[in-house]
Amino acid sequence: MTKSKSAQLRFVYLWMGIILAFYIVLRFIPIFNSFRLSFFKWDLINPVKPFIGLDNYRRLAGDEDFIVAFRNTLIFSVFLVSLSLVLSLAFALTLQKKFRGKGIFETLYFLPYVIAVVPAALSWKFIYDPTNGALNHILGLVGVPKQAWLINDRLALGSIIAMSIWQRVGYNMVIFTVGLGEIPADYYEAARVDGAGVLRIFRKITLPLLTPVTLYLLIMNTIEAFNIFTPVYVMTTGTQSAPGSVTKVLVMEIYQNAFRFFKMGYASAQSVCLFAIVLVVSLLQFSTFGRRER
Amino acid sequence: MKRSKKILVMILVMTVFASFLHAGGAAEKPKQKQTIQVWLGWPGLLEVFKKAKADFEKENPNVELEITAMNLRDFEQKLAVSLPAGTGPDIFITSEYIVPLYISAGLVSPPPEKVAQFIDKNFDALVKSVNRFSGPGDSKPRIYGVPHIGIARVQYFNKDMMKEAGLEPKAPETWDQLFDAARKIVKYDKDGNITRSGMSLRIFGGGSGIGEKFMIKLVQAGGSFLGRTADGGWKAAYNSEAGVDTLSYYLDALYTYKIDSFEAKKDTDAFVNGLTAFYDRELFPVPIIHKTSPNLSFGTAPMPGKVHRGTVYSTESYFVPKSAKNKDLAWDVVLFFQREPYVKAFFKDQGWIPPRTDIDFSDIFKIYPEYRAAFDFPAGYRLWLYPPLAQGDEIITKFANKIAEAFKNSALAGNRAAIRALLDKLAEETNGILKEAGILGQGPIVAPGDVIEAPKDMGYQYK
Repeated sequence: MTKSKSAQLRFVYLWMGIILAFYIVLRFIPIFNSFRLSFFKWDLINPVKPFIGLDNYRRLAGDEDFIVAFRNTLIFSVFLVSLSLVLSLAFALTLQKKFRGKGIFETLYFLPYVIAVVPAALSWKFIYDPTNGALNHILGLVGVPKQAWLINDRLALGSIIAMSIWQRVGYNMVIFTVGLGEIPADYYEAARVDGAGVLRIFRKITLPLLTPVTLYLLIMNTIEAFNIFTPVYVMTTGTQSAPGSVTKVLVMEIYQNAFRFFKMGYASAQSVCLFAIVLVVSLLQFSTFGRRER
Repeated sequence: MKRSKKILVMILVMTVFASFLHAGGAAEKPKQKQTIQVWLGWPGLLEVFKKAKADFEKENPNVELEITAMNLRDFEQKLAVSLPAGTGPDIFITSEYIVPLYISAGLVSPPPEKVAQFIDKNFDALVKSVNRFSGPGDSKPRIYGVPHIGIARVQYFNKDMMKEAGLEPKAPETWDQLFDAARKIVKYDKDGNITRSGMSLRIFGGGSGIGEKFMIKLVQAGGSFLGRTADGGWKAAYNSEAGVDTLSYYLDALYTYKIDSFEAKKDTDAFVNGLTAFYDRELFPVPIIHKTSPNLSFGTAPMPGKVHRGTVYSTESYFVPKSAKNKDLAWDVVLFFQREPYVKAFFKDQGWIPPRTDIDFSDIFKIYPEYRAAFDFPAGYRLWLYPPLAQGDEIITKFANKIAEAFKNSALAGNRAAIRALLDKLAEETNGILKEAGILGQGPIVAPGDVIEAPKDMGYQYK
């Protein structure tokens, strides 16, 4: 190795090391502490933390509230991830064609992603208002009766999913667009010469070559979906929101146990559980799509 | 890499590093001014506090008050994290069901003698009795905070709607009278949807609010939420005939008589817009209604009842944490906020009742006679108090989430056996939480744990 290359490597290791040190302090140590706390009983206030072994985890298994929150989060994640990916791929494919105003459409689809979550959720709460909301007003023009979007327990979770899809689609579309741009045009040309139709080209060329991008979006969207909190919190507090546990999600359950009920040890066990679920799901996705890529 | 580029990269990284060190930190304050931080969970009170802050800083130019009002749940979370770490405020305002945990952990300072004497001399007996707690080393419960407000919920009724229905425009005193009136007032569209509810029930939106309104009805049905056993322990008491009557109240309103629904507009919003005839709340809507709907003909009254008339009573007080750097100054600030102009401003403009016996409030009652409902208790009126337990919020929130699910179950309407079975199941969860805390009582309940008879005279000056 030459002297200058060695100097360059030293430089890289030095500054990467500093950044890694920050990452360890700000990420790994809190995660490790959370894991450690899950074996203790702690009310956040008292310095005394008795060690209780696996009691917090045993309690999780029979905790109805946790099971309901997990079920809601799973439903939320499945629908958000699948629908937002399908929609965003459809938009990305449409925007592959050159047409007038293409830039405006790209901007409009991406705008929801850059809006902060809290004002976006508040706006949607007004849109969904059963008495004065815009959605009921528009649907009323075509004869659809007024719906209690965030109150009706059959519609509440779906309404939040719809809002989250709206916010997510733009980002996914941009990533898919990048991925589509990487596919060599020659492949499409060759396929067309061989007489392949649009659908066959999509199935045999576009989809397989988009696998790395799809895998990335699948994993990132899944992680974000399982960690959903802000839109649910903003849209379901107040006197006009879904009754009971209809929209309770895992992070809300963890937050409530930690900061309202002062059960930090138990909340830590729930966090570890959430971490494990997301890890397993991500690994499954890696292994399924990784095989396809090979 | 060129040397100049290396230097540039190093400067960039050091800048990022420096920004991490300052992340979340406030800028250094000039050393000559002392700062007193005040935190509260009611943003609506900020205007009055701003006026008090300006006046205090004028009198004390070497002191700066930083008053932060935030959403209630965010405030409680911030308090939970900062007080044990010693990074909390110098003064915080909270309720008697939140503070016991901090006091028992030794995180709150008891007031000095002059403040204790001020409290003893100028506040009503009820607010003082509700605010006695035991900290480490206390041989008996004592007062730790200066009471800020004492709140009894009242019923609101629309006089015009009652007249329109051929009823005398006065507040119902019994459940039967309330239901009769609501049934005459409710209106539907051609599809059978409620366009004007007879009464507005709190049936969703945040656990402990639902729980509190349920407690009001439970007291009126002659019950209590928790009971005391002979060994001094606590036990769920709502799985009783009174509890069945209470849940039946909601189910009858929603399904048997259809005088309210999940889709109907709720609460103050519904009342000011003429979309409901009766609802329960604190006094703060009164000035709002006068301001936004001056033509609305309404009244307030003590709550009706089935066995007793009754309501919920809760308080908020100023506390000084042990971690406050200048406790004497902090208590001086608290006493400043107790001056008559600010106390009256909280009451008049915001509807929050200062539990003071030394201030004449009759001028405020001339402007807002509706405030009397929170003071003129009828004989035998009952008050439900938040249980003084660290687990209180958890118990009530979890109960409320489950009872809100029950509100959706139309099959329960009229089925007392099924309602009782449901309440017994919920009581298992409540008792489980009490058992985990080591305070579950054994044996039968010998006394209500959270209901008292209201004092005949609170001692306020307003007549």
